[in-house]
Order: sequence, then structure tokens, then C-alpha cells
Amino acid sequence: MLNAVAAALLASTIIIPPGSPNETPPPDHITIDVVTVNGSGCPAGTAAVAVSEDNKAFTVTYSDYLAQVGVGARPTDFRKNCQLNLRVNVPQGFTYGIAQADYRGFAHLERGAYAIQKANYYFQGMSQNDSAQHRYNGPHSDDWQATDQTEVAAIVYSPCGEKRNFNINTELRVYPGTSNTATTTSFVSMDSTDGAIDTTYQFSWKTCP
Amino acid sequence: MRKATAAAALAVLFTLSSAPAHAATIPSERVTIDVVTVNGSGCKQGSAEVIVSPDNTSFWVIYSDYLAQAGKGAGATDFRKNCQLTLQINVPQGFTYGIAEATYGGYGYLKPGATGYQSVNYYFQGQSATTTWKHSFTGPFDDNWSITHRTEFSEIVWSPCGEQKNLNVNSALRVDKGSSDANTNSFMTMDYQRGEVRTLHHFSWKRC
Repeated sequence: MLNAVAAALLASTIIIPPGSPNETPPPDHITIDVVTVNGSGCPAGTAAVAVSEDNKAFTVTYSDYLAQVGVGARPTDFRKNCQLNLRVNVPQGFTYGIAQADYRGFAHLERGAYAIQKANYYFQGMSQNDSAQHRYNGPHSDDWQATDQTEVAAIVYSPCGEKRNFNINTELRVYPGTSNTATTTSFVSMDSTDGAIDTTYQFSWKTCP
Repeated sequence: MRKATAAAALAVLFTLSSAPAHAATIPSERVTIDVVTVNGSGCKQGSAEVIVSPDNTSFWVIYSDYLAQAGKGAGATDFRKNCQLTLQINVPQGFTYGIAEATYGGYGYLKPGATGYQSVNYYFQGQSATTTWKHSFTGPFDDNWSITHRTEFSEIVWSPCGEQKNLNVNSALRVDKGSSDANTNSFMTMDYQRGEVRTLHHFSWKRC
């Protein structure tokens, strides 16, 4: 098959008249671009994005994504969110893949307090929203890490593939529970969010002209 | 079959050679590093500076505000600060064997009863597995500190033009006031971080 691909490549190179832009054929897998990162947990200038060379994975790091209750905390500090807006490039045909997200951070929770890390996944073209949450109970004063997986499937008729939105709304919450908020502080922070889409299978029935 | 593909690719090259082909950069024979992002509660925007060596095999990050503190004058969430680096590691085609080294340094001021921690989590982008290094400092402590991690690595890369992968390095400082006098302050700073990759052996069997 590689031979055929190479031969086709060769043929297309010869056919293209000189001077015309050399269009790259769309890849046979899903790729991701990070469009915006915004929310109360990631105001402008506090988040940094790194996308992998092959556009299959990305890392967002935060400098100020922290939810807290107790001494020093304002009443609205118990919940913070950060919304990641991704542009997903889907090849022509039927594509099925697995999107994985890894969340890493730190939590200091007094006895009786607890924290929730939650994410909502919305993939344009799929009817249902997917959401997952993870709970951490105090006493806890250490790093935490959570992993979510969600399926993505798409049927794209347009021969050169399509760009779709993939929205991930992440949030952190802390509840004081039975802990004493007059003398203690409980908090949860997120250091990074990593996302990756692995294309499991892909069938195309047209070729991009 | 691979041979045939190579021949076809070569043919493509020859077909194009009449046109002014832009010279493709030949991948380096050693592992190189690019610093993609630096961000965290200990290295907020504008507070860290990155210096990369001309051959891209080592880098320095200098911090101006990476300080964790506990006790008098410290906010409730100040006892833990972090800084995460996303590094692009460029690995050449073939088999590569080398040594990766990381050094962290700063200052510690810990009252009796207080404890300081310096930790680092390493993970590859998109992978859940995390490797952790952790060191502790016991008060009384009032001095500069520095820690070096050294790891051997070997890589096999089939793709003819090498491979790029993003490595995340998340360092953290933590100060627990413990039984120290509540009227005193204990802190740890990170002043710099250095990373280096030394390629000791490299064999390639394909050309980009």
C-alpha cells in the first residue's frame, strides 16, 4: 500500500502545473488546535498552551487556577472554571476515536472538607454531552491526578474534511463540609490539563481533489 | 517494500529538482530541546526568563518570584508554588543513547520544626503516567540548596526525519510550618532550573 501511496504522490507531483500551490492532503486522523482558553480560573495572561508537533495532543498550564474556602477566601472563591475551546480537524468519511484528558494539580483539604474536579465535554455534531467528575476528601494535602476518556465519532461528507468545535469546560470546587472555615483554609488548584485524541478507525469514501 | 517507497520518494525529489527546491534542514544527530512554555503559580507571566544554549542541548530558567512560605505574613495558599515547563524533545532517527540531567537551585529558610519540600513530576504529553522526585529539607535550615537528577535514556525512532515529543516538567516547592513558632516565617525559593541532554551514542539507518 505504501508503494501505491508513493506512486500516487509521484503522479500528483507530476500532474500539478508549475506555480500552483501544493495542497497537502488532509491527514487520515483527527488533529486538534486550541482556539481559546478562558474562564474565572484562567483569566488572560495566566494560561499557557503547548500543542504537539503532530497536533494530536496539547498541554495547558495554569498559574492561577485555584478554588478556596475559609480564612482569606472570598465567598465566590469556592468555584473556578476554565473553558477550553478546541478546533478539531476531522477527515472526510467516518471517523471514530477516543479523546483523553489528564488533569493534574494540588489540593489541601482540612478534615471534613472536600473538593470536586469536573469536566463537561461537548463535541459538535454529537447529540449528548459527556461529563465526568472526581471527588477528593479531606484530610488531604498532596498532588492529585484525574483521567477522563470520552468517545468521539463523526461522519463528514465534505471531501476535504471539516473543522468542528470541541469544547471542554473544566471546573474546580471546594466545599467546607464539617471543617472549620473560621480557622482553616481548604483549597484545590489545577496545574495542567492535557488532551489527546487517538483515532481508532477511519473510513473514507472520497478523495480530496 | 520500504526500499520501493524510498525509491519512489527519491523519484519525487528528482522530479522537483528542476524547480528551486528549498533546502530541507538535516536533522541533528543528537537530541535537542526547545522550551515551549513556562507557567505556574511560581512563575507567573513575566517572572521567569529562559536561556537556551546555541546548540539546543541545554537551557536555564531563571525565576524572580518562585517562593513558597508558611507562618507569619504568609497567605493560607502560599505554602505551595509550582512551575511547569513544556519542553519539545527532538529525537533523531535511529537509536540514541544518552543522559538527561536536571538541576534545581534556590534558597531555604526554615525555622526549627518546619519542613521544606522540593518535588518534580515528569510526564509526556497525552500520557497519564507520571514520574515523581521528591526531596525534603528539615528546619533549622538557612542556606542555598541545589539538587540534580540524572537519568539515562535510550530511544528508537523509525520515522526518517526523527520525532518530536513534548515532555512536561512540573516542579513544586512546599513549606510546612509544622511545630515551628507561629510568630515566625519559613520559606523556600527556587532561583534557577537547568536542563541538559547529552547524546552519547547515535546510530541511524535511514536518511531524512
